Amino acid sequence: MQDLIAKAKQQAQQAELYQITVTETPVRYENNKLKGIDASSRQINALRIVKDGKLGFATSTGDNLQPLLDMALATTQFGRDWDLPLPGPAALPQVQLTHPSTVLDTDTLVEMGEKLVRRLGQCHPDLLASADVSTRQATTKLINSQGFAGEYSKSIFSILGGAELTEGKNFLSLYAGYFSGKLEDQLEKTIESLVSNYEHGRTNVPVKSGKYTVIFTPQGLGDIINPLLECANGLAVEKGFSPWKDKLGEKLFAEEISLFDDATISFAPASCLFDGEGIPAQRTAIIEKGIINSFILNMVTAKALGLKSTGNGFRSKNGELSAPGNSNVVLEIAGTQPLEQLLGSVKQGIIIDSLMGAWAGNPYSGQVNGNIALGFLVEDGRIKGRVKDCMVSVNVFEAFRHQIEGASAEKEWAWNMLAPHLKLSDISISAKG
Amino acid sequence: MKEMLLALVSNKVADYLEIRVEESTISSLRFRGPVLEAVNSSMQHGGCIRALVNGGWGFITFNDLNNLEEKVARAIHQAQLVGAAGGNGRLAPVPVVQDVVQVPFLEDPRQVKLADKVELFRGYNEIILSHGKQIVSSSINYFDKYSKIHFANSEGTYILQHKLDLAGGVTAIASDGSTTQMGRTGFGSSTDFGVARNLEEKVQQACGRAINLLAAPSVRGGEYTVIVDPELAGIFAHEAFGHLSESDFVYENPNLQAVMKLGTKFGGEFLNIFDTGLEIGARGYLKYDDEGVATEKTHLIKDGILVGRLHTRETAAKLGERPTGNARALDYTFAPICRMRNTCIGQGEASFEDMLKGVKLGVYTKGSYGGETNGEMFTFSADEGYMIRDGQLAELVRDVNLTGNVFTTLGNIDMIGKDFMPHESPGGCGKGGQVPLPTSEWAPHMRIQNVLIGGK
Repeated sequence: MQDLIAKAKQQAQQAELYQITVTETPVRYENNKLKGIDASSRQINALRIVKDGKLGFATSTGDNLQPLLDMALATTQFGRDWDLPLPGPAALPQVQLTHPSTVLDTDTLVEMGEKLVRRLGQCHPDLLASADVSTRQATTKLINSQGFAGEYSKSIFSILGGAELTEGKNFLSLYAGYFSGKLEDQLEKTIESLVSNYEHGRTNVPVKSGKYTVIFTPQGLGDIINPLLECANGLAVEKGFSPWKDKLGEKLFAEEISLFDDATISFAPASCLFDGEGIPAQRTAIIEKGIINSFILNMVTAKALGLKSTGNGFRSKNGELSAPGNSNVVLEIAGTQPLEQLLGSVKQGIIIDSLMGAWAGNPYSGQVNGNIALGFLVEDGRIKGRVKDCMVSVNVFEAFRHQIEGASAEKEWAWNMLAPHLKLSDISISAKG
Repeated sequence: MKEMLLALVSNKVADYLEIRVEESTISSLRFRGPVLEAVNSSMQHGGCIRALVNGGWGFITFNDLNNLEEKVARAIHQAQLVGAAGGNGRLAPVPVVQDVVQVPFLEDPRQVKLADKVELFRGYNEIILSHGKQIVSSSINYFDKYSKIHFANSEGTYILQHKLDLAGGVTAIASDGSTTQMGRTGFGSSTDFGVARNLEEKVQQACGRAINLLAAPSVRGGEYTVIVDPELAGIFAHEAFGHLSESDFVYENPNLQAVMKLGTKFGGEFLNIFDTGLEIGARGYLKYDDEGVATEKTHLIKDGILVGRLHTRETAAKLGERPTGNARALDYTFAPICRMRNTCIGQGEASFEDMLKGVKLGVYTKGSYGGETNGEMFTFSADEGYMIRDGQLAELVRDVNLTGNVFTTLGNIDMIGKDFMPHESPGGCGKGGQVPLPTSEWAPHMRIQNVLIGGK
C-alpha cells in the first residue's frame, strides 16, 4: 500500500488509499429447511489523489492495485476543486469492535438457524420460516500522504429471521433481526419478536379512517426518523435543499427530543475507529433538546459550510465516497415510562411495527406516507389484532414539535438505530371503505 | 478461458456445478448543484461457484481467481453439509448451450470521451441552474457498466456474455424557503448511449414540475378512481404482480399455490401482463440468464387469466413447469435468484379521454419515485397528481402515495390504454439484498377503481 502512495506522490500532491477486506459465511434457511451455506471473501481498493488542486478517484477489486493510479489520474482533469489537506496522524477513540463471541463455526450457525425455524414451526403447520445467520470479519486500512495510517478489524454477528403465513389471500409476513459486534441473546430476541408478532397478527380487525394515537416500535421508527437524517445531511445542507440549512441553533422540535449519530458505541453495528477519510470516530448531537445542534459532515461538505467534519465520510460498498452517511443513530426521548405503561394508557390506538413504501417520498417535506405492513389495533391498553389495507400519514416535522405523548424506557436496536417505542397523538390513518 | 472453466466444473463429486467469472468496468459521474462532485472509474473482477450435492447448495464468491480447484472443493463441501441435513434442491433440464453474445450497440458509451460525457451533462445542469430563482439546486447521476461474464456448468454449457447497462437521472430541486420539491427525468439502455442525448426539453419540464409542486396542496387521503400514466402503470405491473409471479415465493408454499393456480381469473379480459428478456435496448434485455438459460417472453396474465410464472431451474423443477430464464444475479458476489426482466402490461383499446369520462372524483397520477410490495399488498408513490373532477383534469396535488391489495386491485382495473409506451428509468429492483438490478417496465395508461391514497 505504501508503495502506491509513494508512486502517487511523484505525480500528485496528495494521495490516499483505502482498502477493506471482508470475509463472510452466511447460513441460509428457507421455507423451514437448511437451503445453503455460502462463503464470500472480497477486497475493495479505492485511491484518491489530489493533483494541481483537483480530485481524482478510482476503485478496483482484489489485489488489482496497479491500474488504480492511472485510472485516478485520468479523472483529475474533471475532478472537483480540492484545497484541503487530508488528515494527518490522530489519536483514535477507544471503541471495542471485535468480541470472541462472534467467531462462530458453521455448525453453530446451522444450529441457530435450526432453532429459529423449529420454534416458529410450532406456531402453525403452514408457517414458512426463514433465517440468515452469519458472521462477518472485516479489516479496514487507510493510509495517506499526510502521514495518517490506520487499521482496524471488526466482527459482526447477524441474524435475520422471517416468517410467512398464507391463508387464502391473507398474507402475514414477519421479519426481525440484529447486527451486533457481540453475541448475546439476539437469537432468542429474534424468535421472541417473531412469535409475539405472529400471535398478535393472527387475527385481522377492521380499522376506520381517522386520527389515532400511534405507537411506533423501534423497528417501525426507521421511516419516521429518515427525514430528520436527510435534512441534517451535510450534502443537502451544502446544496441548499435541506430546510435546516440556516437553522443551526434553532429550536424546531419539542424539548424532549435528542438525536445522535454515534460511531463510538462498543460492539454497535456501525461503529468504527475512523471514517472513510481518516477522521476519528465521534458522537455528534444532531438534535439536542429540540434544538438543531449539528449537521452530519464529511470533509468536503464541512469545508463548504465552514465547519469541521463530524467523521461521517463513510464509504459505499464499492469504496466510493459520496454523501456523508450516518453511523449508529440514537434517539433519546426525555421522560420515559415502562413500555407496559405506555401501551396500557392507550384507549384506542395503533402500533406500527413496519411500513411499506414510506421511503418513496420527499424527505425534505417531512411528509411520510406508508402502507402499514404490520400494525396492530390497541383498545384499552390491549392489542386486539392486526390492521391491514390502510395507510399512515405523518408530517414528521409537525409530529416532533407537538404530537409526542411519550416514549418507553426500553430501547431496542433496529439495524443501526437505537430507539425507544414512541407514542404520537393525532396521526392520520386512511383505510378502505 | 472456455476450456479451463469447463474442465474445472467437469467430473467432480457434485450433482451440479457452475462457475461465473466476471470482469466489469464502470464509469460514473455526479453533479450536485454547480459542482461536478465526482468522476469515478472502477474495475471489478471476481467469480463465484455454486454446487449442488444431494439436494443441498453451496456457494462461494471471491475476487481472487487463483486456486480455483480449491474453491470448487470448498463449494462442494458446503453443499455436502447442506445435502446431509436433508436438502431437496433439484434442477429442471435445459438445453446445453455454447454461445458468445455481443452487445448490439447503437452507440457504445466506451467510445464517447469522458470529456464529452461531462459536457453533455454539464449542459443539462446549466439548464436547471439558470432556470430561475425558485430552482435552488440540481442533482445529476450517470453511470455505464460494461461486463464480460463467463458462465460454465457441469452439463457442458459455456456462455460468454458481453453486457452493457447504462442509466442516469436528472433532478431539478426547487424551494420556497419552507418546502423543497423535486422534478426529474431519467433514462436507461442496454445498447445505446444515445438515450442520454437530446434531453433538454425533458429537463426544462422537470424544472417546471418542481416549481409547480411548491404551491400544490397535499392530496387528501381516501379511496379514488385513479388513472395511472404509462410509467406508473409499469411500476404497478412490477410491484403489484411481477413479484408475486416470482416462483421462489410460491414453489414451497402450497397455500399460495392454491391461490396462484394457473387458469385462475385475476382481471378483466382486456388485462395482459408479461415479462420479457427479448426487447433489445431495454435495461431488462437479456439473452441468457445467470443459469445459462435462454430468456423468452413469458405470459403471466393473458385475457385476464393466470397463465404462467417466472422460474429458475429449481422452481421450475419443483412445480413441474418450464424454466423461463429468470434466474438473475446482481453480480459475481451473489447466487442467481428468481427476478424480473422487462415487465409489461399489454396494450388495450381505451383512449385517455375514454378514461376521464364519468370520473366524478379521481386522481390522475404521473411518474414514480418507486414502490414496494410484500406479495399481498403493494405501494407506490407518484411524482405528481392531478385531481379529476366531473371528468375533467383539475388542480395539481403532491405527496401522492397509492396502496392496494394485489388481488382486488387487478380486478379493479377497468380500462387499459391504447398508448403502450416503452419506458426506461435509472434505479433498479431490489430483492434479497441484490439491488439495484436493471429491469424495465413498459405499459400504457390504465384506470383503476377504488385505490387507497394516503394523506390527511
